[in-house]
Amino acid sequence: MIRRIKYIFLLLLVVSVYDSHAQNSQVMYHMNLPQRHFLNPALRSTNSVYIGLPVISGINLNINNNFINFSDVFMNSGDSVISILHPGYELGDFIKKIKDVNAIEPQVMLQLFGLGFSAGGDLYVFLDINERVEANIALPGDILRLGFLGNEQFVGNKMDLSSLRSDVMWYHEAGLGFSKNITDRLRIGVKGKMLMGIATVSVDNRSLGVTVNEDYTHIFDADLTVNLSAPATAYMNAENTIDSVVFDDSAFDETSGIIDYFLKTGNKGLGLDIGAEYTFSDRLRASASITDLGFIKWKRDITNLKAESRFEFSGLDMLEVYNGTITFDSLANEMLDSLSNSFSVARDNTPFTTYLPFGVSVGGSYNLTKNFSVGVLSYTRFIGKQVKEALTLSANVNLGNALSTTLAYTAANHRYDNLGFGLAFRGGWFQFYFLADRIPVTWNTIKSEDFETPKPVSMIFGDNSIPIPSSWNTIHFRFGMNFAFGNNVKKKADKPMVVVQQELEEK
Amino acid sequence: MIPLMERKIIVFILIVILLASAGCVKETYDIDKFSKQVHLSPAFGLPVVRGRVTLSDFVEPSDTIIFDSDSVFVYAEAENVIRFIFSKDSIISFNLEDYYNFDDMLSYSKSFVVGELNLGSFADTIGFSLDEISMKFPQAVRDALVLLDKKTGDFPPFPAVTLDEKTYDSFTNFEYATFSDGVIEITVTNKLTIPITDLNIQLYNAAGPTPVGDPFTFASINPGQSLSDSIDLENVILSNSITAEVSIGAKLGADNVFIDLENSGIEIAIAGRDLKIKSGRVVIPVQKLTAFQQSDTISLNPGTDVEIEMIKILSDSLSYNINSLIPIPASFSFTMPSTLRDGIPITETISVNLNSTVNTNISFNNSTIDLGTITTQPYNMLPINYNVEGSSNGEMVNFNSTDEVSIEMEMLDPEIDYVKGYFGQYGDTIDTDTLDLEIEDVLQNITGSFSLLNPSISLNYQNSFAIPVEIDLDAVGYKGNDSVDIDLDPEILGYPNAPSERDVNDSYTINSANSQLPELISMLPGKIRFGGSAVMNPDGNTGSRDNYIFGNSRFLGDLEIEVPLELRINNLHFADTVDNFMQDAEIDEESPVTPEDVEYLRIQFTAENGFPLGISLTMSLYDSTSASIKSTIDATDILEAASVDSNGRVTEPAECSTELEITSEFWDAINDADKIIFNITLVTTDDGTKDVKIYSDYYIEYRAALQVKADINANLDDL
Repeated sequence: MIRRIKYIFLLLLVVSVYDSHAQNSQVMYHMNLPQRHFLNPALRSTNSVYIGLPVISGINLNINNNFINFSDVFMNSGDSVISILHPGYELGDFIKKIKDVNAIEPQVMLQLFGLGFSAGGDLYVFLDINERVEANIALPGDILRLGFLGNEQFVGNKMDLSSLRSDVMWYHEAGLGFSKNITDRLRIGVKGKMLMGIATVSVDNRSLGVTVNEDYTHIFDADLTVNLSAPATAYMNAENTIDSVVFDDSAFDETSGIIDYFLKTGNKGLGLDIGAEYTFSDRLRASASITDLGFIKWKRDITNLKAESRFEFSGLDMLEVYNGTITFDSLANEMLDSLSNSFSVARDNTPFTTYLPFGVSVGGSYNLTKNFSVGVLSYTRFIGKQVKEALTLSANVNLGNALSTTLAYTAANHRYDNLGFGLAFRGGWFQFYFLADRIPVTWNTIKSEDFETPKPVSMIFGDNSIPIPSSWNTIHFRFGMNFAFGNNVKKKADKPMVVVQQELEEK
Repeated sequence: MIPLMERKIIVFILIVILLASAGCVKETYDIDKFSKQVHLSPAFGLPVVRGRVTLSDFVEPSDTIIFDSDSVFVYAEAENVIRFIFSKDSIISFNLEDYYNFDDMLSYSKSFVVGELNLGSFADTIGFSLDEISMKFPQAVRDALVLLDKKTGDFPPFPAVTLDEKTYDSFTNFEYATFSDGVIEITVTNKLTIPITDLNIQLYNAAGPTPVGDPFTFASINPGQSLSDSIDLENVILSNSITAEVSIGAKLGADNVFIDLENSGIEIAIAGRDLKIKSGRVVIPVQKLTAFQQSDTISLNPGTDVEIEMIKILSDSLSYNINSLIPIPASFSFTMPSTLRDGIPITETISVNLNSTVNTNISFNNSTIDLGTITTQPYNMLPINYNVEGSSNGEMVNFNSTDEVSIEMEMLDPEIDYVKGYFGQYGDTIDTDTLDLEIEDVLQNITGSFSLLNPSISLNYQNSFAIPVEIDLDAVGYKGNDSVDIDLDPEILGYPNAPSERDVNDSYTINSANSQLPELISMLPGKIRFGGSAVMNPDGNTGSRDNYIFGNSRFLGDLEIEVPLELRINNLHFADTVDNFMQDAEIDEESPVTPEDVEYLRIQFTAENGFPLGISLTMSLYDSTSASIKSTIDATDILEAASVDSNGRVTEPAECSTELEITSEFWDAINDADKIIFNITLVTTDDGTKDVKIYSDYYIEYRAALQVKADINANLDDL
């Protein structure tokens, strides 16, 4: 039992460590799922009504990482497993894999409530309440290179840390939207969202870097602001540096307090999804959307920590030492104090605004048969100054709303081996779905005598072995259960005057 | 019912999924065989120290660095060239009292015998009338004269007859006296009318009677004629009552002369004159006591070979004592003709009663004593004139010429303004001694040449002794078998041009212009033998006696050794072997970093050297057992000398860059070596071929960066 728990924990750990590039479930785009309107509000499923219950209707986990895999860190060498720190490993090979900006983007979305219904004709109205946690953490490659190789490599250059970023947002999202055919071919959808921020940490990095000159003098410059909306207080010392950050949990002493905290956030924002779908023919469709356009104005538990620094370290000035006015140790301590004090931090309580990373989807599908289509989807995500692109090719089978499955290939994050899969099937009014934008095609196994793997796993991967994807770029899965009503598709009463041969074959 | 096509596609998709899931296990990692060895080799470079050093950073102009309680190194800036100055105040200090004591220099004691005194003259006259004379005539003659009394007639001759003695009136100015000089003059007047042809007078002291001298004899005295004679009173004792015994005769007679028995006769007057007495009971008239009428000289004894010509006294008094044993009060007058008080010779009159002693003082304030007025000895001689006047004031006193008066004089603790003269040829010797600098051990390890160009030793003094002093210093430096003599000529120290100048500030400097001092110092001697002497009046006594000593004369000398940093150094090499202190360094066993974790450690040293001095440094680990050098850190030319102009001033700093690498071999060798050899080489610009000067604005701007390449091998279990 314990071993199973360990196994599960390890799996989650592996999964959580592995960040796949941020994607928005491309697999779902062409599937007959109510939740597809998250990707394009103009898209709808074929059921008339759907209800999504809290949590069980949708758990979406998305973790992206653009620079590291398990095999990048650990490798077999002879009879042993070594790490990149092993003396026998050429560390340079690992260093080459470090990118200038190494991003880690975990995203979690829990659908607290969902409702969609046809409101006469082709009007489809939908309502969603989601709990979203999104993070975007970027590590400059220079930090990692610095840790492994030291600063010798930067002599005469600047360690550019301006890409250091950390944006974490936790917010409620309540959206109300509709989609409707504007013309016979054109369908548009709009969803307005009200956003209520719970907490956020946002780092506005305007400048951060260390210049190492030829004579090894270091110039530290920093100009960044950490905006915090959370029950935490940063205490400053006399030198205007952060003395401590204390989490104020007094709001959570009572249930009412907890409820008030989560519901009466005071951090309000608005969001917008817009989309359109154009039907060229029965077979060919194109669609486009902009999703997650929005902002949140943070006003509660605000802490702004603005740090500005320009500090030049050119060694200890020995004049006072050999003047006898100070000892060497004192001088060193003074230098360290100066360095820390050079980071003057101004604390403020100014409300600030964060913008959601929005995405632009452009897709198209071609129905090879009535239920089988192929699709293409381009999803471009704008995260601050970063632009990330993913292109998905999919093969989609939609049997009404009874079964929907997709096999997708996505090129993203400089990886071209992302195979995705989605499966949704309905049992009565219950619709179950599971999506994964990346199915590990290749696996590595971690073996240990301490592992007790379940039979199915051990049958495939061997005893005492835990499978892990060999590629960690993208981890995504989405699953849930909807209540879906109105699933029967109306048959056309009239007979067509012209019967296309292909239709006859299909029949 | 799922259409066939879709069914096929679904199956296809599922198979793909299964294959994807089941297949392509790329790698299997047996965690049980995970190697926990880790190795990290990052290379870091950090600036360590920087600075800009000028000498001004260490000391300020006129700053003081105390080395010990007596010695002071003073940094002084003169035209910006750095000078190190060792100064010791009051290294020589002496005052007038240390060499000369003018106390009791004048001490005089003399006794005087009064000697013979003058006596006042005396005189009286007695007369014999004819009547008295004729009484002694034969009767017939007598009778004849009686008959002719008051008549004119023939005065018969008469034979010599002795008259009755008559006594003069007693003299009032003496009772008796022994004369040393003088005469009694007797004058006979013939008031007879007949020439006297035979007159003898014998004087007698009434007491005794004792004759006074020989009888007076007058062969012929004509009528009305007076004749005189005298007798010398030398050694004659006289009483104040004199009797005359007279015999008179007239052989011729006289015709037809008036004969008056009562009113004619002879008068005999005696008078004592030019009387000097030796003793007696006399009335001493006011007179100068000649025994004291003299000029004397008081001889000063200021010391051997000291010839004082003049003394100016600010304040003092001459103490004197007069002990008078003479029977008369006297008035003693002293005159020092060459001692002027307020421009006037000092004269003092002291009254001394008979047989008494007087102690008193004569003020010598603001007096100038000229001791050079005596031609035969124009120095140390103070003339003094005495003048004593005394009298018995009309009283009869017992007097003896051997009575004495003693005079004592003394001058105590004069406050002197100045003394002029010749103060001898005193000298002092600095005993030859050898100063061992105890740097032999250091010198053994030094090779190369070093020259300090302009060192100097100065004696800055304040001298208020106006006496030429010649000093002769000798010093020889030794280094091994080599020696350098300072070769210094004797020098006369400055002294004031007295009397107008009383003090002089001067300096006696030993430098390259008058000695081999730079060569001596530059030799870096291990020992210095030194000695010397100082002599006053090196030319001896020229007779000019123009030395001056003032009452506050003092000689105060401060020693100053000045070493301006003007030098040249040519490969001054210092080598020393010390125990390997790194070998004993305890390594913190808990430290995660040990020397073995360092692949190399480099110190990158860059400097902008504004000093005209270059430094090279090597440090070698040496194993004395195998007599081999294990590893060396070479910092050749860690500083290169800056270029200088013709005046020795730096024109352009030298850019220097050195990298010192401490390799893992060095670390390994630390434990193999028991000694460390340091080699330091100094050289000035152009290999010490130019003179360079160290100015206060020279600087070294340096930066040192540390490059460390770690070579960390660890086991995760140990961390």
